[in-house]
Amino acid sequence: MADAALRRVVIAVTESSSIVRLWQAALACRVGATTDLLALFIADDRWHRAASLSFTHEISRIGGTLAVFTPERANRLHREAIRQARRNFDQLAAESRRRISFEVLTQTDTARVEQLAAEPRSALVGPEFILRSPIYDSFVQRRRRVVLVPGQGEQHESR
Amino acid sequence: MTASIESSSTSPPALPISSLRRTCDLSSLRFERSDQLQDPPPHLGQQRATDAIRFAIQMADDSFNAVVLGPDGSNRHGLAAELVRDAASTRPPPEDWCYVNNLEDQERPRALSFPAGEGAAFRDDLRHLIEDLRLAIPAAFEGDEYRGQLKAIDSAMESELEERQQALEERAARENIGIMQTPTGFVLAPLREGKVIDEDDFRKLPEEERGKIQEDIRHLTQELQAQIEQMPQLRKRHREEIKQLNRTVTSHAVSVLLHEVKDKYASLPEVTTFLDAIERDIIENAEHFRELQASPHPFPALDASRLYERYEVNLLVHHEADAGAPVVYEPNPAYQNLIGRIEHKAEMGALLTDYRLVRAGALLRANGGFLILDIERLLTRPFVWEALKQALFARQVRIESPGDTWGLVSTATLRPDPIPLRLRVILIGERRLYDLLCRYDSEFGELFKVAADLEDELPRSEDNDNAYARLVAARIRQAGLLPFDRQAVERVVEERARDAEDSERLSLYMRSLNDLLAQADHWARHRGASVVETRDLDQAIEEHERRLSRIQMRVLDEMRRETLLIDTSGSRIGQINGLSVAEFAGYRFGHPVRITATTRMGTGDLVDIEREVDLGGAIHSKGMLILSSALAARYAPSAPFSLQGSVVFEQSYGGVEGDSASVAELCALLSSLSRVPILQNLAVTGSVNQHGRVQVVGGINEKVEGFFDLCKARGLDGSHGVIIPRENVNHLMLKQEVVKAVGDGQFAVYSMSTIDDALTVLTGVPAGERDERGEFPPGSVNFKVERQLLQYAETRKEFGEHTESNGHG
Repeated sequence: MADAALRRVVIAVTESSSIVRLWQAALACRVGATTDLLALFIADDRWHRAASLSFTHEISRIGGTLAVFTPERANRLHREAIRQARRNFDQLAAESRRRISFEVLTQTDTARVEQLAAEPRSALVGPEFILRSPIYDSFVQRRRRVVLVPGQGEQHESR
Repeated sequence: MTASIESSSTSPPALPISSLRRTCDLSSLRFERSDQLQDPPPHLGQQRATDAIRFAIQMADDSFNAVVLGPDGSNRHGLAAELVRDAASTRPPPEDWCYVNNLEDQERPRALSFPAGEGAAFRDDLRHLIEDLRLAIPAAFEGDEYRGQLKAIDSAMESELEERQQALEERAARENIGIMQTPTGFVLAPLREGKVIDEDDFRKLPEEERGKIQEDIRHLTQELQAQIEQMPQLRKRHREEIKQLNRTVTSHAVSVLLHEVKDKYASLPEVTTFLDAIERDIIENAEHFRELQASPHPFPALDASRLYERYEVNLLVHHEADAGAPVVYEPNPAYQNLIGRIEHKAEMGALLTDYRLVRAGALLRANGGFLILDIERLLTRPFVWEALKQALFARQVRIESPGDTWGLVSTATLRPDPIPLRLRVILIGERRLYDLLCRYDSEFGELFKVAADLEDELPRSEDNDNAYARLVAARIRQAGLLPFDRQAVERVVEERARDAEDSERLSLYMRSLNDLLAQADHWARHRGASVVETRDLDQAIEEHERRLSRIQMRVLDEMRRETLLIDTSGSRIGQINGLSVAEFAGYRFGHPVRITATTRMGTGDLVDIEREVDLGGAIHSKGMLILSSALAARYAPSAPFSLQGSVVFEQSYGGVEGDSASVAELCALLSSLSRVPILQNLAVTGSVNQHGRVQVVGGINEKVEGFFDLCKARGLDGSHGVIIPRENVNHLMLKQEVVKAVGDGQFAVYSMSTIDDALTVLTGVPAGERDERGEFPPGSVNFKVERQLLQYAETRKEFGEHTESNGHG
């Protein structure tokens, strides 16, 4: 007997995730016509912490030029990352004739994540490093299905 | 003492009908129908012109181009083309010429030459080569070997990048420094327990540690910057490695395919050079040729699927290997038709061109052979004459737009290689244009050194009449007309003499001959005949004249109604019937004109009223002055010339030209002086010299027939006639209607040699010759003239003495 389709697939996203690969991994799960797809953008405050330091610079990929990394710059990058992730998910969903919802949480919004993990037929798809992020612990503790996508612009903060 | 005067006093007899129209007798040819006649000797009557054309054809010097001179319709094209084709067929075909892409400078297409017939083969070989390349190159890139090597290059690059990145990250980790990626770069920040610390935590660190962290970040930043700066070199090296791989793969595929073509054209160094250039170009641009089916690009110039078109061959001129030299007649020698053109294609609203749109003109098509052109058309097309001379002087054809040639535009366009030119040009045109070019174009004589002047006429003899009959028969056959019976052919020959205005010559103007034959054929078919007879020719001539004779009939009608006053009976003093010829759309007809003269005592002035009101032309004025001189020299040479006379063409409002009325004008003056009336049933034409000698005039047949038509309309009574110069008798080819009237005694044609001949016939009174004492016989016209002039002189003398005495008194 075939497994029943999942009720919900949560896609964990960060500022540096490859949206396409996460999306492909999510669709590879037992996704049915009634499966809810939810992109969960957990805002990381590492950029803000780095920007609070007076001596941090952003080194440009083009030419290696330096620019002071200010809190304003960190805010702008953060907002742009969210907007870009949302736009990419919407576009991929439209191409696949699916619908996806999008939520932005902070590292402290554990209650919402626990609520999502409470659904028995749910799965979590995300970069490998989320296993080290405490906010997703509820998915592991409830033994929900967790799909890790390798090579996902892992946050160097963890090093 | 008297002046030398030519005169006679006996009236000349009327001309016999045998003098009025020289008939043609072809009985010696023994034929009944024209289809039994053989072809005439080639180029009948045109030996001089054909010799000239052959000379131009055979001359080795390129500047001996020829000009065939003759009026339109003289078969000048047919003659030139026939001679040139004969010569061309014995000569080898010239080279083929192609334009190919100059891969180093596409604005300057390269010209390649091939032995006749091989140009097309080369074009086809290149076409096949391109087809092969289209398949072979993408196939080479699809192979596992290529993919494997490409993957190895990519992997090496990725590994190197990863190693560098990893080394830096490990170093940073050892220093507790995190490297975070942003969308546009990297940020380095201190870590504690795996997390970036903020400003508050940082301040809590010992000062020494804070300093170390900042120093470490500064060093790592410098290293990261150095890595980033090396990235372009790394990527460039990566691209070069791929490019070199592509070249190697392409080179192998191309060289195998090109080898065969190169071998085939090994004897043509320029072609081999071009093939080498193709090979280099494909290898250099190998990456563009990888796709088997490149998707069409909206800008055709960037469309990769059209990349191979740049190696196509534009076959400009080609010849069959077993053909002779080319003979080209360009009926519309516009600049681009003669020199060649660079065409353009509209793409995305822009006009684009390339070497494949270069087109040969007549010069290149005729290169190595013969080019026939019409002078008038050459001279009336803009820029063409100069361009032709330029090409012939330079001995090469440079295809460019006239705007570029004359510096009128400066748009970037193609500059194809010039192509060496060696050909013989045969120009065809009228003599006046040839004369103008000789006079006003100093370069003309350097390029066109042979004039082939076509004869307009053929002298009549039994042999030539027979040969002409065969020419007529040949024309009938060529045009697919009904055969003509012998009498019709004879009649045609006679009409050709009439066309030549000379009973002793036959017109070689072929268009009018062809037209006459075709019209006679039409009327014969119209009556359902299978053979053309003289009646068909009569009808053809009558219908042709009737179509054009509206003005002639109108003039005749006005004379009959006496709106135009012409007497054809009785006699008048100082009034005479002269003869004039009018022309409309190539149709000529004669008609009489009334000339009157008045005289009185004066100081020797003869007034030409036509000249006074600017209606007389230069030749007419000259005739009047000669007439005046003849009068003064001939009569009372010892006395002052004390005449005041005036002459006028009555009811003439359109101008008078020519001197053919000077005999009539002199006779009118002499009639006025002598008071001897002139017979109005006669008309006269002829010019006179200072000694009273009558000279030939033109349009003699039309003039005689013009007076005949009027007299006939009013009723011929046997008194009517025309007096013509004796030297014009040989020109008579009168209509048979006139000849018949003369034969029936209803009309007469007289000839005259002197003014006295004319006076005797016109007045019916002997003109009179001076006797041994130098005196005219009493009662003669001349006697009366001289007596009157002496009387004027005496009166003038008396008048002068009286005036003088009054003046002194």
